[in-house]
Amino acid sequence: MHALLDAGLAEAKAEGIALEAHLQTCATCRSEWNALLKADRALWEGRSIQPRNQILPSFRERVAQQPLPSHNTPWASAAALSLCAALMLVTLLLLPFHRAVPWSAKRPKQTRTAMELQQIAPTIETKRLAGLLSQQALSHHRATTAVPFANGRHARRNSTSVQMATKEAPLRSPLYARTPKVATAIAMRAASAPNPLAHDGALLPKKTQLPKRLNTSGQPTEPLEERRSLIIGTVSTDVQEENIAMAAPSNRGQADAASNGVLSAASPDIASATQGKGADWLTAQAPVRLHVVDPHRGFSSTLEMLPLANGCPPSIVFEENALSSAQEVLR
Amino acid sequence: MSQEKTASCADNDPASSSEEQMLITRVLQGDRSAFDVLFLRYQNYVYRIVYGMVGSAEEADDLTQEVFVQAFRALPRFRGQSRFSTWLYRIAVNKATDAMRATGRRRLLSLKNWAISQKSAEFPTQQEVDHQQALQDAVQRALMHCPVPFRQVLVLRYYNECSMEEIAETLACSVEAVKVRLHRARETFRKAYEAVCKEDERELE
Repeated sequence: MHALLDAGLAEAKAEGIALEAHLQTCATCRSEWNALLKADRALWEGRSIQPRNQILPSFRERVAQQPLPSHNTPWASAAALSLCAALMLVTLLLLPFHRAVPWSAKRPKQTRTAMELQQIAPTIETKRLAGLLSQQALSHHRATTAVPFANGRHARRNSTSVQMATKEAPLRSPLYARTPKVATAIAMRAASAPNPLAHDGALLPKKTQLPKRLNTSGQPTEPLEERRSLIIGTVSTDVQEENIAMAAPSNRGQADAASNGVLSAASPDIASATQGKGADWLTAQAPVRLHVVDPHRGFSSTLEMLPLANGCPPSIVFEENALSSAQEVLR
Repeated sequence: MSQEKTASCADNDPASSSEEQMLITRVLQGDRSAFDVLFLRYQNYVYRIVYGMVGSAEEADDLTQEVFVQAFRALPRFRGQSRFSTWLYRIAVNKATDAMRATGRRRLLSLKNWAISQKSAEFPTQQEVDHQQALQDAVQRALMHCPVPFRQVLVLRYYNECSMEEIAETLACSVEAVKVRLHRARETFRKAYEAVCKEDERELE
């Protein structure tokens, strides 16, 4: 029985059949097996445990107090310290003879470190953003994330893509997560922290309102603040059945239509995108590439999901093609 | 519950391992932010290990951070001979075991200790949530009645879905030893779980 549980019922078919035959004739073993199976099933529930709180911020604080790890031995560290002390001494001695240069003149403008960039959504590994920031035209945003599916191979949960606006880039920061809870948690964390996508210079007026095309609720929103994010809505992605079938509505009304509709097979691995014709969906063995077109918010994006391969979590790529600049959005 | 063999670790494929190696190299070169990626990738796995063993959410939060801080400090000593996940799990198991021995007490959980499960994120009914929480509570209470070595193996196997080989590597023992320990642990847990369930039934009556 234990060997069968170790191997998994699906992978030990022969043993399973033999056990089943025996259990039909032996009440003691049947009772034993049922109790064992009940405990075994209960234990699997532990897979859904998650931390209650976001522990990354406090972890960052703790790790910031740690010296950087290196291969150096204590002797090498001591030598490095001595060298630093000597250099500082020499610098202090030579400083009075050096021409004074204002510190601000030396500081490069609009620099953002990789660490800052990752703060916006730590589960999303941002790519290419560093270079784009300096151009102030974030026309192409590509983010990769890997969210494990708790139930193994089959994606069958609702997913949510949270669209966030920032003063500096109203169409930026699409966050994708497997569950609305996770997406919201990421979004809330990003919203409560300084927005690392913010530029040094004020790109937009201080009292910037959310552009009308982004505000589908019709209600007035709070002004976008500098270095803060505002969640402007979500795009629900309904993932049903195994091997991924998803509906990607482009607005809330279409989301309802999609949830009521029957998902049917479409092209197996090619993206399907229709605009203004109700829900867009596809069924595929995977990889799945999904184009989401949102006429209300004025962007199109591509969601690419690669399924579990060799037991590793799927990777999800969210690629957004937005307008060429934040200024254009406001026109 | 599915008995199928499911994904056990986040870094089973070579591409992921090489990416992790790259991240480790970046950390060692002074880029602390690269460690955030590793933290986010493994925080739930580590949390499940320590939570399953100590049974307290507050303590698990703290221990999870300690595990990663220790891993951060010890990163230069990680030679890549084992998978990063296994190395990290070993630290987590040791930390949680030390914490258990230091406090030397058993804790019983309240329902509030449980994080809202991923199932509840799918907007289940209140009845389903209650059932799920009661089940998880009973499991954890039963787990707390198991000896620490049994808890180690059960948590790695069930909570983190580790394979026998991964458990053996984490606990520094043979696969056969893991199997024997797992069988005994399962038996112990079964008895404890039955007792807990009966206790709950009596309370309901």
